[in-house]
Amino acid sequence: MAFAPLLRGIGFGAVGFLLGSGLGAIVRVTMGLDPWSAEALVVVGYIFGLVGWLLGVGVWGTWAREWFGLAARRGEAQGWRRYLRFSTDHKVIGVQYLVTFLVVMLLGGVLAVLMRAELMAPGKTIMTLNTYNNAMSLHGILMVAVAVAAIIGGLGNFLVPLLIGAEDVAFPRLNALSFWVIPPVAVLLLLTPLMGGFDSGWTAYPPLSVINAQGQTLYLLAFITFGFSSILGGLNFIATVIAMRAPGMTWSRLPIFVWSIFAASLISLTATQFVAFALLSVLLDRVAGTSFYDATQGGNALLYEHLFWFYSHPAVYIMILPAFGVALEVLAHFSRKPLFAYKWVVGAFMAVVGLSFLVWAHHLFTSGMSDFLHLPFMVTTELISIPTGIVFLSSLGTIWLGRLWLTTPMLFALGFLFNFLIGGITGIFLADVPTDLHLQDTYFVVAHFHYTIVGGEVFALLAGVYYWFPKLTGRMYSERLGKLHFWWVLLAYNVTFIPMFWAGLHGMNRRVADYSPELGGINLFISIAAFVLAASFLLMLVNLARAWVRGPAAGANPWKARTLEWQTSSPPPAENFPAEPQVVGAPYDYGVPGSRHAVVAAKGASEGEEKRDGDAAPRNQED
Amino acid sequence: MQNGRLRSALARGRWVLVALVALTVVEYAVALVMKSGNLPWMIIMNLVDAVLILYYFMHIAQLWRKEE
Amino acid sequence: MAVQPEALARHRLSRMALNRMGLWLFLLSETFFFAALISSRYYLQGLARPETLNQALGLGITMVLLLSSLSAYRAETCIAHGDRKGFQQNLLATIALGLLFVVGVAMEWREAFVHFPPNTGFGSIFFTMTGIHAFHVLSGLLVLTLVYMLGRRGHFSAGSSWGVEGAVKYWHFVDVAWVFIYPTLYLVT
Ligand SMILES: [Cu+2]
Repeated sequence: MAFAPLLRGIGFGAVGFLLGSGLGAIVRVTMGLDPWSAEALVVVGYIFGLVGWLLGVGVWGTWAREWFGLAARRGEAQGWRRYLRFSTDHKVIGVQYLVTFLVVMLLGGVLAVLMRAELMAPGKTIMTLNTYNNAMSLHGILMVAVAVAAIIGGLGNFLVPLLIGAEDVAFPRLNALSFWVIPPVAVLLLLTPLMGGFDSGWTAYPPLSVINAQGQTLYLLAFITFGFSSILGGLNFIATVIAMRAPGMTWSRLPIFVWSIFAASLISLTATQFVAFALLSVLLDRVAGTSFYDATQGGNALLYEHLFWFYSHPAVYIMILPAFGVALEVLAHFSRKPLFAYKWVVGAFMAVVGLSFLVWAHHLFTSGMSDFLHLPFMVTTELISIPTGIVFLSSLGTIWLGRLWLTTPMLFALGFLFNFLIGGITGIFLADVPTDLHLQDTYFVVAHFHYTIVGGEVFALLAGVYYWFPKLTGRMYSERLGKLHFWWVLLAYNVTFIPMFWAGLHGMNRRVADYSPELGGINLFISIAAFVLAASFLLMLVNLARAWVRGPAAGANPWKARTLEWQTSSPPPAENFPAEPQVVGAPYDYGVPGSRHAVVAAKGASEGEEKRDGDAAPRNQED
Repeated sequence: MQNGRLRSALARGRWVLVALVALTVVEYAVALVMKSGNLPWMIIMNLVDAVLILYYFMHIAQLWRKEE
Repeated sequence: MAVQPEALARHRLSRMALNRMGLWLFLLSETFFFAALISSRYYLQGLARPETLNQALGLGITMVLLLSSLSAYRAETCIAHGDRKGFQQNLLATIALGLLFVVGVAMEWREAFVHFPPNTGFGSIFFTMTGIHAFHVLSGLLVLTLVYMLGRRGHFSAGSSWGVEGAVKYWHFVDVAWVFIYPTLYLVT
């Protein structure tokens, strides 16, 4: 039965939850406490329930049996059933991530629409102030999860093994595990309203997050679980890139997207542990009676901000580095030119990784941190504009004098450049202490980070989804609808978010449902633009869903691109390539006479029947 | 000489433990004597401890040594 | 067509070397967690050291844990050289010493509840640090026990002992973590 693994997971999870909360109650009784504490029992129950869910959904059958000396059960289902089970195929896992986070993104989008509806006029319009706070917090954490995991988990999983000529990631079962802890995260977050929601924003600063409604506890458990997934995913990518490359795939021949995933994985492997501890300490303050953040008992709320941002600033590079990778990848292929300054870009990625650990306290300029820390953190933050500037110059150099093939993915990659430039430049005012003191916690900040994450990363995500959709599904979407989607999003996006800079400069505070009446006009304008922006995503859904079901066959290499993922069928077979690819040159040497990236022999074919990588002129492909 | 190699490896382990125990005793003594500002000394001794365990017990060199 | 995840892998490293790298990456990641813990101690408490700490017990459990690292090392070395009996004995000794350590921590907690309960500054740090470390010890003991049971059923040999190696490496890591935690809680002033 197709749903058997899911049902078994849910059943085992429920048993685990009951077992865990029962155990928790017994422990509380033996410690002489009142056995009934919803939060404490939920925490213990959840830990056991999570283990039960994972065992039931597939860890027991495919993996844990070995720990007890039993033979693990192997074997894959076919067709759509693969997506409902503990599949170890990186391509299945990639699609699982993409679809899951697309759904999460739509949920977060619905919340954004509700928030904008509330903000259409000053005062109370459609929801209570507390509901607004909860909606805003939930929107934040859902979208942060999308931003962290959609490109890495979705596109990264599907494509990194293909791009390096491997058959799978280094640890396929661990990869499946990283995905299957995500559904409990989503369920926990969606259950928060049942326990009073959480009104702390996605940053969950104490002391508020220690004393507010019990929904906060579910948020903490969800985020810690998500971090666990992120750590294991990063670990897998690092090992895969180091050890699974095909013969000839040297470090200097790695496609730039692979480099970007590798760089982002270094951050998620390490920095995530800091947020795990930050959230754990809040959880302990709530349910175990510690006082990390109770100032009357020797606690200090600033500790949390340091720990939290030690992860959460680097996390924006977990989001944006893979976006750089997708954008540069798409720009090089559709400009039919070698990627400009490849080695500098790789160096820039690594510099971003290093610097990202040295800037966290720019989030604490107005928090009461010691003044002498302002200058060093301002300087390190501004230093980051050097490597990001290199990436930007590389993208300009790549399209410079190229024969641009303006497909939907290419348009989104160009849109990424435009939006990210605005996001980057407005960031300078937030890195500078004197201006930040005035702009902190206004809509200027909201506009800035939406420009980097939505205008930047999400545009790159969409570029990647459109670019690789034929490879993922074997079918082609409608270019016409794709282009319409692009122009619609680009215009609606900028019309929505540009005015937010102005609103922020005129005293519009973030995270509040109400504002002074003279800002009513601009907010009404922003809200209407936001609704138009939200509607554009329905167009994409229709286009992609229709293409997936009955679009025309895309063929192995519709873009005539040279990298390895296009040298196998669409979608690729379980083993990825008919025979082990041999990499013989750089990935982007379009137009370099006699160059080729890789040789993929057909199954059992002699040397003469090798597939050539796409060097043909693309012009005749355009509609 | 399988047996001889095993015996010398076990002997090496014993010496590492002797060193670790000795360092811990020194740490303890330093903490008793120095009533303030002993942090830098602790860090140095802990790092030596860690290097001993990582190198001799955890065989960290396997990571960069060629596979035999 | 069933894909055999491990059988298909075609990397140039052996499966063993790849597993090893994965474990080291995991331990690197864990190091950051302990770094967050230890830096929190200095952020909240500076160099303050309560006089009520049971110094003898702290030193005692540290020695027990160091000793368990030696027996774990011996277990791994024995199986790598084909000495099954030595492997089993030393693994059992490691588990016993690990349990002794846990008992020591429990005794420590009983006293700590009186002198610096969890709702004080130092207590928050003390209970969290020792608690998280004890959680690592317990999970390590679980893995060592599984390895012991598998060993009794005849698993592992000189040429195939990744399960032993992985479990023992994790155990040593738990020891390294304690090497830093012990002075941070007991000795530093
Ligand atoms: Cu930041």
